[in-house]
Amino acid sequence: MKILLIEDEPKLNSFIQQGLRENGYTVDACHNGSEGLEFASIGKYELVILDIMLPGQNGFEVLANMREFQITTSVIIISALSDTENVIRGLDAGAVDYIKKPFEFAEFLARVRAVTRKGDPKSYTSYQVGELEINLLSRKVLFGGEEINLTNREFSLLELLVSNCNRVLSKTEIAERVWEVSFDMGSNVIEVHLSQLRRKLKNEIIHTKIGVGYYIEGALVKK
Amino acid sequence: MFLVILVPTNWLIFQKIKSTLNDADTRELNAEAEKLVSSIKLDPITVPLPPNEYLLKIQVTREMQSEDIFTSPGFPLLFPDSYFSESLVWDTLKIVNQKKDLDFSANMLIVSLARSTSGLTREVSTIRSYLIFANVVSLVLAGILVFLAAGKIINPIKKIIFVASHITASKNIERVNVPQTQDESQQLAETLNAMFIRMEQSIKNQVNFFASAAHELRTPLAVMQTEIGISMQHVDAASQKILQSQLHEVERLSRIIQDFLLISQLKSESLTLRKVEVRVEEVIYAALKKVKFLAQNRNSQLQVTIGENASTLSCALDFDKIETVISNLLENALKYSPINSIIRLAACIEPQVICLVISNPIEKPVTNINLLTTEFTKSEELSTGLGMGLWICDQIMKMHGGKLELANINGEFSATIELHIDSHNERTYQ
Repeated sequence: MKILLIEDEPKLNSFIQQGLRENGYTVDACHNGSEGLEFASIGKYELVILDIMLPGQNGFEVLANMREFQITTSVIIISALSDTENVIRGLDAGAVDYIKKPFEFAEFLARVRAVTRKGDPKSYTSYQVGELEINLLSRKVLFGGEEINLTNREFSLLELLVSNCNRVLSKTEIAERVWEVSFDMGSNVIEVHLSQLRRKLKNEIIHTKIGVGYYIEGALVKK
Repeated sequence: MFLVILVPTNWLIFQKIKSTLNDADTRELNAEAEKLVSSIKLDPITVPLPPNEYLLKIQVTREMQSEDIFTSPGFPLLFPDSYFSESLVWDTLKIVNQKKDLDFSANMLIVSLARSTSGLTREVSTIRSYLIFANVVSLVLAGILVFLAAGKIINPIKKIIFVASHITASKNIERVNVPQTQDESQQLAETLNAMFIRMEQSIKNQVNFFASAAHELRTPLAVMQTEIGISMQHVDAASQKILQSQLHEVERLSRIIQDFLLISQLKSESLTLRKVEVRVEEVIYAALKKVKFLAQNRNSQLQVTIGENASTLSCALDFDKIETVISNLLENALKYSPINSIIRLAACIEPQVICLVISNPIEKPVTNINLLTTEFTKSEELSTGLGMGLWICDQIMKMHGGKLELANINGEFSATIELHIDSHNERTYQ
């Protein structure tokens, strides 16, 4: 998986390169916008990670020029310009994600994974358990052939339960993996979201193991 | 002022008219009396009768003795001296005396002619009524004209005042309309607009400075955070704990920078809300994620309860700003509660209101609770920090049309925020 990193801050550029390489990605890096555009037009990349405040051309210009030159590679913007105006501008210009600096590297990797999953033939793109089908790319859920409309949080919750099919997941584990927070036992966040998810899935697929946690039972097919 | 000039002037005019009418009346009476005097014959006595409205008295004085020749019924009984004056007013009668020397001695014929003053009084009264009416009408008309004229003159200024009073410092300040009146109001509007251009430029510079400062401050933090994040993948558990702590401090520094920027923008009134439709519970979860390390460090638990409907609602709000409010309140709750505490966050939706209550135990009651939302104010118990966190929260809530309320009951400190849901922006999901 080949990634192009366009970031002018040398240390940050170097650390992101190192982190991505350690996680199995091939990285080309450059430090200014014009050079980045040149790299993007010559090389074959699955993803471009693009800063905004760059010498030469700024990130918005690089992105606009990429699209003008018919370079359709996915772009994740990383920027210290954190106001909503710039986020909207970046996403409207065609970026698939906008990560505000400073960011947690683990979260950054997760977002990179989410985008690159699309182009990685080794990654699974859908799960199926009985009548339930989840498409990880389009984030579409079908139950008994009928499309179910889920919120992002409910989708993540269902994805976790399905990918761990036949394994009971404790509330703590669910909270850590879906919310990235540890809730006190008196919290009802997981119950409320599970209750709504169950209602949407006609109360048929998610089971409770009293005092332990929640699980989905069935034969999991990964595609 | 108009009244002060008008009333005395009209009073003088009235007095002049009254005097003129009186003189004319007297002259008319005298002319009638003269006519009578010339017509009277004494030998034999022939007295021409005056018209009905007149009363007549004819006397002849001989050697200081007066003898009445003729007296109309109703003619008043006067003092003898009265007949020697030219005219006098007696009760409701005006009397004129005409004297004529008789040929043969020092004897004298005195003709006294009287007529009621009621006609004259009525006429004067009518004129007075007309004058009063004319004065009142002219006063009312003058008032209306002044009002209209003043309105025409002041209206552009009022519009300028209205627009100016609603102007807040932003990157796009609304201009006041320039009335094409070629006078001071046009000049005022043009001066104000020129001032707004200068203000706009200054605010743009300030905002650009904030953006640059934020970028410059965040970039090294991003480097640190990434470096720590990568390093954490290669170290043992003990070192990971240290790096985790450093990561937490970097995040804290990042939040402090964010707070400084917010303070500057709130102070200069250049902070603008970017409202987008978001799911309310997602804002809460984002804020919880920001304080999770602090909660871990203090061994405190976050107990979150959300109402069934709270998880199905989205509304238009500025995600980042409300997230800052909630994370600031949670951070306060964690920092100022004893270690191993349970911090409660309850979210509910009442009709058209999203209500969020964050409560935490405290060891000592907060005494100056009402002052905590004022800038640079800290209670004795809440003694660290800038004293600006709750002020920022309060200001952001006010900008959203909501409110922040603090309470201190039975050893528990609570912060309640209320957000009014704009019915146009409200959406519920099944």
